[in-house]
Amino acid sequence: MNHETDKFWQKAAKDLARRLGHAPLTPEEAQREFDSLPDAQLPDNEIDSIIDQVTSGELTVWTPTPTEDDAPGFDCEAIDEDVLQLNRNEGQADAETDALLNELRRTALEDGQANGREDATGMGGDAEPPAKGG
Amino acid sequence: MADHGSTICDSDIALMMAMRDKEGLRLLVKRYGGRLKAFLYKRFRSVLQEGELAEALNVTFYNAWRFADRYTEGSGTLASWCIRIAQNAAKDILKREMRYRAKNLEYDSTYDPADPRDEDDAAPGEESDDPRVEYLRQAIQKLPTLQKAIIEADLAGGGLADAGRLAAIHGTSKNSIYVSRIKAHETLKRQVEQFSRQPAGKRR
Repeated sequence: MNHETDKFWQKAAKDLARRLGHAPLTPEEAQREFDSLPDAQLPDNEIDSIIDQVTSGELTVWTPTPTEDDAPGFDCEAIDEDVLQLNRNEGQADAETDALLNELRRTALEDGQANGREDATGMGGDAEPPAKGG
Repeated sequence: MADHGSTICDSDIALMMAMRDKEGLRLLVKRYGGRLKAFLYKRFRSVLQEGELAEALNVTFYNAWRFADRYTEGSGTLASWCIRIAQNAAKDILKREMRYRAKNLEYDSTYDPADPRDEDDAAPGEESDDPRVEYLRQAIQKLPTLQKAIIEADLAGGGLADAGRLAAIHGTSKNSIYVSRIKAHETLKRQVEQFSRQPAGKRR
């Protein structure tokens, strides 16, 4: 980061932290904060767990886990067979994948015929079949 | 108070804990545990994970227990002292700062677990009424997800949040965290400069 950006951020971060309530609380601010919170007791098992950890000094350190927010979830079941045949290694024979590949070719040809784009060679007008992928 | 029926005052609870009486700790947890947990959730739920919030609550009581002899009524009520310890505990987790759990602090008679951690931390004080601060707050909301998460963690932690922790949460590398942070700072600086150049009446 260049010096100017660094200086800018250091100043801005302090102002922002105050605005967002992240500056260290004074005793008076902490008291106001405390008074504004709902008064509820923790469940007995949680109280016991805290007391055990605190008095033994053996605190559980939580290991952060990935969130799902960054990778929007989608149903991959519908495409996993296609991914399988696209990603097989060169020279790798697999009867199931070959059958699927043939089925996909056949479906693609039928689609072409249904759309009135019938092709006698079945290769969409190409002289040669598609080359091996790299 | 949540421990309905107990007549033991706060200074006696602190004294009991200083004497290593577990009953003092139990009273403190019963009396203030709910509100301390609520405080942590209110202030840090957006930047800490569920397990980390529980860790922060445990660390709060751990430090109140260890340093109960440092509590004085002159520095506020026991409740406000604990709130400030809780704030520090949450910030330590964001920065993965473990030195505040070190055993040798118990031999430092001046150490108070409720005191602000670093000189870099924003000192308590008046909120700025500079319109650029509000503009900046809005600009952060528009950053890409990872950049926004880094900046929010930095602000909540009062410094640079731990890159390893952020990388684990967001499924990326530490290097990517460093680069994203720099990009975010540059974007924010550029946007604030553009905002500042606009005539006051035309600012949006």
